[in-house]
Amino acid sequence: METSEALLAQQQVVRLQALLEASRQLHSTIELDEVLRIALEIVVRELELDGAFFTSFPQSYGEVPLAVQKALSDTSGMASTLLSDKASLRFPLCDKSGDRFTELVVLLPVGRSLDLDETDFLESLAVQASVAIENARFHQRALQWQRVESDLAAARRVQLSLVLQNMPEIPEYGIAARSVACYEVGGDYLDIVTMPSRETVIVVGDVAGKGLASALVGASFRSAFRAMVHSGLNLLDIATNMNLLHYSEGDEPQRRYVTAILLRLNPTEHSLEILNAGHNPAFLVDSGGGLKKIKASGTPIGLLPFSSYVPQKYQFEPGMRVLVYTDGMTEVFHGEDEFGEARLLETFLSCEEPTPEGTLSSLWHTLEAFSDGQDQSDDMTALVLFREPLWRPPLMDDNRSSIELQLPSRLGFEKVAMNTAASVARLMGFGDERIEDLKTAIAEACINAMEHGNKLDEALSVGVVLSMRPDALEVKVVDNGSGPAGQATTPDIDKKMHEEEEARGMGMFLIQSLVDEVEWVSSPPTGSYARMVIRLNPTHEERPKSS
Amino acid sequence: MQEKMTQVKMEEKECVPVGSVTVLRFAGDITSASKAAVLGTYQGIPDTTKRILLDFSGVDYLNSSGIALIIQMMIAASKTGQRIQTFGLKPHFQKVFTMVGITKYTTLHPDENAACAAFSA
Repeated sequence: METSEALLAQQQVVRLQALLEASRQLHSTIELDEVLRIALEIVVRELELDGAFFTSFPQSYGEVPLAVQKALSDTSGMASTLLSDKASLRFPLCDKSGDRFTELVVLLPVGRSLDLDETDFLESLAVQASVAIENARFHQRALQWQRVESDLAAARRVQLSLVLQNMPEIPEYGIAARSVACYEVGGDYLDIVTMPSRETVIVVGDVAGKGLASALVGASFRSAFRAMVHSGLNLLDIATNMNLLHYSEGDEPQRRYVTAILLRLNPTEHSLEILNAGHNPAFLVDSGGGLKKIKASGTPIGLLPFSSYVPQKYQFEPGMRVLVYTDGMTEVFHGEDEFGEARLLETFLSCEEPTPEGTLSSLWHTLEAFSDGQDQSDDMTALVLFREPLWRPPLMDDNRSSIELQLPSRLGFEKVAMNTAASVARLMGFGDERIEDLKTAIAEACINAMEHGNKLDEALSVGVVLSMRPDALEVKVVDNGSGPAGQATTPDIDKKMHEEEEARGMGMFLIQSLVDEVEWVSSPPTGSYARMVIRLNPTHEERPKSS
Repeated sequence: MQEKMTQVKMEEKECVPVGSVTVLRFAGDITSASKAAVLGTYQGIPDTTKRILLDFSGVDYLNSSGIALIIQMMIAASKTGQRIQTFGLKPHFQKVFTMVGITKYTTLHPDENAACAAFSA
């Protein structure tokens, strides 16, 4: 008996060693096919069986007729009865949470049965194989995820390349926009197109849904929008056609309809046309704080096969500001409390930032403070458009700086502006003769502003803004009036001497004759201004007449 | 701000060979506030005076309202058949006078002697 016990013990040691070796081999790879192959090979060779396979994988080892594998993989429970002549045993493989995800089936040679040690070995091996298969599957998923991630990163790069790189420069206007996607790619859409006529067409849109699918719809929207803008269609036609086009593309695009606001700025006429297609209201605020909410005049683009949009046209007065945004800007939460439209409007109204960029930063700062670091739940996009106010110096940049004066409307004070301008001009390197021209032009403009613009009401002031540019000095003289009634006319001295024309009334003529560029801009009710430019090196044609 | 008042001095002067000439010597600013100084002083000149010399040597600031007063004075002088010669304007104001066209009714001279001599022309 001692000999057989020793033999048994020896056999157990061998099995244990085999199990250790099997385990080492199983865990030597994280490729799923490799793990399955190794597991089956060990089972068949170690125990000298006919064959083996896993029920939910196609791989097998040894002699496994396809019909047998198919029948035994059938989970209906009928297999064992159909193949009763072939002895087989099944060992379940379970995942970490204990759920069975496959079975190891071994086919025994005729007349062979497994002893306790052998079954123990197979059970242990099944446990090891479960872990190895699970790891291999995680690895496979990680690889797939990496592919998806790199796809998304590429999509994001494409989307970024479609996003505006630079804001257009529009004289007297400032524009800034910011768009932050919640996922890698976003469903918010922002575009600005400057027309050869100098008109600027802007769209801020929000594709229903988020992520890649919405971004794809956004990209298709962009192409259609740009094509329509360039074909010279008006806002109403653009919106109407975009709606039909989007709707006719079928169910999926219809589910991903687009809410949008279209704007068309004419910087020459200072007019702004706005069309709201199912989007959040835009805020239009004038220099006095007066508010207009531009609400939706129709359904989102692509939702219904018909539309009835109504564009609205506004005079874009100096100092006016517009905010257009997507719902991500209002749907920011602090716990259960939503930021909301009212808070966004309040933030915009109370913001004293002089630039559109500053205004956007201030909005974002307020939203961040409100959410207290809570994750962004939607794409966030906002666009701010300003017209320069009369009372503020033009936006500064590196090559330009401004000096601003406010004078009482009392004759004689024009000399303050005149002497200040002369000092500035001298520092800029203007010659004596041009300085004298400038002094007379500014004095005349100030006198007109005091007498005609402000009717010599000393409670009203005349603003003078001197803007130094590398090549020129620009002077704006601002009053509260409605601007000069007529154009500058050349005085007729004969008529004056014969008292057929008033002796007075030569101010505008003198200004026009003495500076390189002048315009009178009337912007009732906020006021008017004369803008004069005197260049350091005037071109021959523009040189004023001299004696 | 205190405006620099218009100062005006009236004097008689003998110009060879034409004889007596009334000289108005202006100094300071000529603006819309100079009505009394310009038109008031002119009204003090008797109608019998036929020659008037305007001296602007002391004028630092002259605006369109001031020029309008000068034109009004010239209209009155032309009605009474008085001749006006002008001198002493700074180059910039000479340019402005030329632009406005006043030079059609009075000649701008470089100095007092040249202006005097012009009466005999």
